[in-house]
Amino acid sequence: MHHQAQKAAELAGQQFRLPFSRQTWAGTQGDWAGRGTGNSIDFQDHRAYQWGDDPRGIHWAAYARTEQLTMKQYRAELAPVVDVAVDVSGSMLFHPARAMQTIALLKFCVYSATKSGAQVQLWAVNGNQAHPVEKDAVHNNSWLENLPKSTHESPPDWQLPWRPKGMKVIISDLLYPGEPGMYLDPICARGGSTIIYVPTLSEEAHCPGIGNFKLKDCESGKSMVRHISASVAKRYAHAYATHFEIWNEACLRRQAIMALIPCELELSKALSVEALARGGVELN
Amino acid sequence: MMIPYFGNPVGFWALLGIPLIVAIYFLQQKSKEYESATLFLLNAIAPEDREGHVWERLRQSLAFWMQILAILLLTWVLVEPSYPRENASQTVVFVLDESADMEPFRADAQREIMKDIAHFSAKGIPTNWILLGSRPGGTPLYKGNDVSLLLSSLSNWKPCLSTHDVHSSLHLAQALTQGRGMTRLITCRPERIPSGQSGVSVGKHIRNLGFVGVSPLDASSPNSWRIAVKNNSTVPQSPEITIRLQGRDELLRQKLDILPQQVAEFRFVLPEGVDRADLSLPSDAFSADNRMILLRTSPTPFTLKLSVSDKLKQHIRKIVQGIPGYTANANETSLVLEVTEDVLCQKPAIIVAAKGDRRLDEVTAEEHPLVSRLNWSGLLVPTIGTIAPSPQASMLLWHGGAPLAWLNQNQLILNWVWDESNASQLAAPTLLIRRFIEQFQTENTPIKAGNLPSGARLEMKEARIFESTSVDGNVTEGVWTGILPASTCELKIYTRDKKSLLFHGAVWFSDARMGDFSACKPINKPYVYQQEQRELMQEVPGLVWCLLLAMLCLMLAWLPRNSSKSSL
Repeated sequence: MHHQAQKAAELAGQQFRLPFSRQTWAGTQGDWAGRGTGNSIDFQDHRAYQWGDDPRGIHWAAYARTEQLTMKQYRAELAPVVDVAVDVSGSMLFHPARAMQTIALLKFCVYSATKSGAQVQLWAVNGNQAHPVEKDAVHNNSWLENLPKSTHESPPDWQLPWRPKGMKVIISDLLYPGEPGMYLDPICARGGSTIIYVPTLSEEAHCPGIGNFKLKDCESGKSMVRHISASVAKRYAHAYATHFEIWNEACLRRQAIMALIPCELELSKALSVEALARGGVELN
Repeated sequence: MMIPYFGNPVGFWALLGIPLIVAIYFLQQKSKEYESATLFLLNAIAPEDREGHVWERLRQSLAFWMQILAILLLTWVLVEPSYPRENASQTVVFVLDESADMEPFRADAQREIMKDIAHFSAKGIPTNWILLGSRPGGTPLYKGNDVSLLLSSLSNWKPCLSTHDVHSSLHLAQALTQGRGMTRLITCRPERIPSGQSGVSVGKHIRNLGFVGVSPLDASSPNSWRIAVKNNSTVPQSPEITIRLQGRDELLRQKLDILPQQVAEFRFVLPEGVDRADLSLPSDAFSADNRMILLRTSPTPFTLKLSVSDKLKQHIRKIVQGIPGYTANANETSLVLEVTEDVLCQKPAIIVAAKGDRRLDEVTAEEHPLVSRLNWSGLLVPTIGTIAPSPQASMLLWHGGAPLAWLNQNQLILNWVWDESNASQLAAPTLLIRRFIEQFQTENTPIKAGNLPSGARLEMKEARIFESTSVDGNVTEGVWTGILPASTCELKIYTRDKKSLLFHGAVWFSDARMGDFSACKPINKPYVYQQEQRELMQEVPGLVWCLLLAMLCLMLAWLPRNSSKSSL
């Protein structure tokens, strides 16, 4: 599964990247235009020479015309800051398709960020516990095995040490009850951009059928016998769609990007369905 | 609301389809396991379904309810509901075999009748019930439509007749039904149910031990008997017979060992001074032959006045020596019978011709009890008397065309010279004289007595009323019909005004065939009335529509199932 996910992530990484160009960056030297001045070749402004300025930046032509020492200023080129948090609760991993898509998305994020020279910080979140994940562990596919084994019925706690002005990437199915705002607010509070990749299973959009079902909660492992009638199935389908509409609306309100990633499709195709249109990824 | 009759109750088995369908649904609806991440959505939209109640699952299934409805409709069609037509009525006549051997099976007979009543009442047709005994000419035990009264009459019914023909009762029963009902014969022996007759035999083989006969040891000792007991079972029995003597406290006992289906005899002599003995066998299911009453019989004394030849005198004395009651010395109460050659004698007498004409011819006999079954072929009568019979005479013998012997009121005329004939060497003339003397003695006995078999005919001209006392002390009084009672009893027969006692004796149960229950077995000959009874009923309307509706339900049950499959 890790091998397949790696290939899918690389294939997707060749077509797409994280939407670094959608924002200006602050931070260390890199390849992306920063908010301040820097050493790029992109001219930004003029200013009067000040003592201590690098003489290489003096605009000699302007001095010739005006006899005033004028400095040329160029746009800074900085490395992006990317924080990736992946939900590793039971609901993300119980279905093989979703588990593979989750792993592929994480690899894609790491691949894309690394390729772009971003400073990447990875978190694996399970309930109210967050565990840092090493980039190497993602490369060598050991990150999931290294996580402590635990089951949590509570929804993931996204209050992580998000770095300010950075890009925050959330990989989660968002299948937990409650108002989306209480999850999004801690993420979006410190600026930067927020992208939520939501691996979805098409079979989850509908009830498993009409009749009696012994439904097992993938989070808690508890089972319950339920009778699903046609009307219940209909209301379920509506509730499922509404759930994501509410999330989407909440994301829009907070300028976060939410993109559903169908697990049944190969990642590069899955990203082109919704993520590309919504700015969750951009073409290389 | 009238509950319809169900012509085919077997159809109710179709209701088993309901639990079957429920079971199938439960099996079909067995929960499939499914792992889900969206249970919080389901719980939010349908919290009432959280427990998944079993009936709740079925409640919403149209197919389920359609199938149940189809089963109910099909059951309704299959059980063939019907109800009586307007003005429908029927008559059911139960002919009860009143033979005494039905007595052990009274309860079984009542049970069968109750079953039949339940059967015939089930259809709701107004029924006129008639309970008829098999006694020829008997009146119905019950007639009406009240079942409780019928059962009450049935509980009072006691079979006690000897073997008799049930056909006359069945014919009467057929007439009573007037073609709108049926007759049921209730008996205990299958062979008594005529061919084509609906009936039920409730008998079964039971072990029985009973008296089968009693006869005097010899004619001269009428109070000494030889008593026969039969073992009607398949195992040897050793009954002890208890004999209670009237006026004495002690009981006599007689032990017998009897092999299966065999008869054993014992002697019993009524002691002097005792007028009655009650004999009892150990009680068993059939009690009619367990008791016997023996009464002392004292023949009326009589004497003879002989004025004939010495040879004839000597012969007649030999004859009367064996007749009980004969005494040579006459007293006040003795009857006197003359034996004389005086043709003008007007008293009871045997008149013998003193002289006559010589003539040879054959002797032939008339049909008369005094000469019946006697052989006259050897009688040689060379001399025929000259006595002429009166117009009232009953002829007994003819000698060619001449009258040879006849009865003239209380006189026996032997119209030949006895001494010249060989009559003294032959049995027939001797028995003729003995029979006449016994008849004379009997006819002139004011109160007759005897221990007689049940059901026998007893002719008594003046007899009008009888009074029987059973072994249990129950006294029954009735009109004398000339037939002795069928059960053991002490019997008195009176004249019309009941002032003169004509007979005082005992009757013993003589129908030995009834004591043998080896041929008894239960059998039920089916009703032959069912077709006619169906014609009294009419079907509940709309059965065809019910059938079509059931088909429609089954189709509807099929359709939703398919559509639900497509929604999965």
